[in-house]
Amino acid sequence: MNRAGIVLVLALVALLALALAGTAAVYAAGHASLVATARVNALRARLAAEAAARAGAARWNDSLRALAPGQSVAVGDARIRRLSPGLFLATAEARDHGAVARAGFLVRVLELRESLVLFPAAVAGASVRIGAGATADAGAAAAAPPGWDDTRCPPGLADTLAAVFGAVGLPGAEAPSALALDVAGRADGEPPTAVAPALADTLPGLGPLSWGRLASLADRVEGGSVRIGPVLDGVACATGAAGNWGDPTHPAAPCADHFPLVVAPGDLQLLGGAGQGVLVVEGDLVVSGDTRFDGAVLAAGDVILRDSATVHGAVRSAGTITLDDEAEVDYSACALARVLLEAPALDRPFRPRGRWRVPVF
Amino acid sequence: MTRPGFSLLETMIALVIAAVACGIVAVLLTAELRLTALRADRLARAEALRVAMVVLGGELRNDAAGDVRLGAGGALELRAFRGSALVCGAVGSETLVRYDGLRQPDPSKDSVLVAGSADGPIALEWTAPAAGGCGAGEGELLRWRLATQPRLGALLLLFERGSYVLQDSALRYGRGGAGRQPLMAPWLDDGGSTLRLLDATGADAGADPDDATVAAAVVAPRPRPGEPAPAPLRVRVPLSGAVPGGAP
Repeated sequence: MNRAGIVLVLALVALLALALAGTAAVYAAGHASLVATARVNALRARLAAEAAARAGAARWNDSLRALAPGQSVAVGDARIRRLSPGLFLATAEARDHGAVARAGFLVRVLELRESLVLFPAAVAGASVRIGAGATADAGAAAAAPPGWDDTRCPPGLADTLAAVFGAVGLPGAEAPSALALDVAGRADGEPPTAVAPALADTLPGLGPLSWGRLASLADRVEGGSVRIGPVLDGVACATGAAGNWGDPTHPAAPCADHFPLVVAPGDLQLLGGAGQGVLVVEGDLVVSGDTRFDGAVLAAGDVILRDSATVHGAVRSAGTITLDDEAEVDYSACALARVLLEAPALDRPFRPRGRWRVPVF
Repeated sequence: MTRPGFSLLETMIALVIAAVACGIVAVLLTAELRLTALRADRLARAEALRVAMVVLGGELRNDAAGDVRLGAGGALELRAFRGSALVCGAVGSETLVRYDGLRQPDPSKDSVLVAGSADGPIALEWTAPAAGGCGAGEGELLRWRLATQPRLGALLLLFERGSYVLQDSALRYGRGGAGRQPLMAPWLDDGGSTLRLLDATGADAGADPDDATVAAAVVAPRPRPGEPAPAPLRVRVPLSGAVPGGAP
């Protein structure tokens, strides 16, 4: 007897339904896995691009300052493009398993003009007193300090002074009003003294760098009373040694090209010796004895120069500047330019304020 | 002629066996279908969360503190950057730019910012293709008329005003004052999802902050009935310009 049935057919249909459902689930899960993998690859590519762009910016060198606006050059895996005098764009592209990402970061450098503008005279402050016997001289504003030859001066200083101040000649002393100027000694310049009401405004720092930012960048932090002078470690300059602020008097010495950014969080007194660089004092500054300092002096408080203290560069204060005895300040754009461009803490790329990461497509 | 047939006993046994077999198959099918639905549901939720993370992360990381603010109804109003252009020349009052972006510039909705400048946005008044030059590729060189002509070499960031909001169970985007379109399937829990701006301490930076450093989103999936609420996705996007620890 031969009997036909439908159980086999039913079993086959059930198996087919189960197989279809399982296949759909495997497909959906596989698709989701591909999407997640693509997301991971895209993230890896973006991180690699950002790392390459930041590495390019970290390999900053002075030759990049020679780029004209719009020009670019490859630095490692990144490309550095000059956007404006003090602003650069570092970009890079990276790939990971087919994902492509591009990253861009803005890089800021300190331009000489934006820091030089803070020093419009040999001495400039909320009030200036030059005692009999003391001197504030801007008569040879573009000249090199004594003991420097012209090869130590950046080129085009006269043009830079003209571009920043509208003239090559600068005043010996400048204050917000004529009443704030008390000159019993000598003030030389073109003109000898000048009035600038803006000097009464708060001094925010050095160009785009605030006082706090300068303190965090300092090559050296000083306080109290200090005697300065070059210190050698064998034949090399011991830049970390106490009181070593470079050597302005011996151009061929190992410390001749050491221009530190020195920050005093409070009051500071220089007792004697020689040094150079950018001196930032958040309190009061007293320069006494036979101290010679070549460079920029920026003080939030009062500044007193006495005895035979000498500054070749310029002094700017938010308080009162007093020159007594035979103290002397000689304006030197050469000294200012060298220290502002070559202080290790300032000759580096910075993050700009506000936007730093920019979209590049 | 008589034909033999099934006895009643044989029929009943056959019916019982068939019922048991069908029951087993039905249970298996039901379980498989429920599992498939659950799997599809979870995949859809994961996709929704991924869209939120990718969209918000990609959009906000290019914004600085002045580009975003919290608007009415918890919406995040922002400058949505759609392209960037390098100024490579000028022809009279027109600026020659080498442009690349997600889409072509549209003067009816786009403005530009000069990267690195503290100045405000500049209206894009007119755009047209330009002949080759400036090292630009096919279709990259454009002539723009801007309300203020930028200097040579400047980087211009093209943006449109838009807003993101977590509303009606989905992340939505709207340009300007237009209606907001969903970017995902409606899988979000409106009550458990938020968009915020935080300052460096992690506190709310306020509705129109200048010191916002992080955009934060909590994206909570809608729970299924009878199930506990799944863990929300927390997205934190550091804004461009945020300096961790104040490092120079």
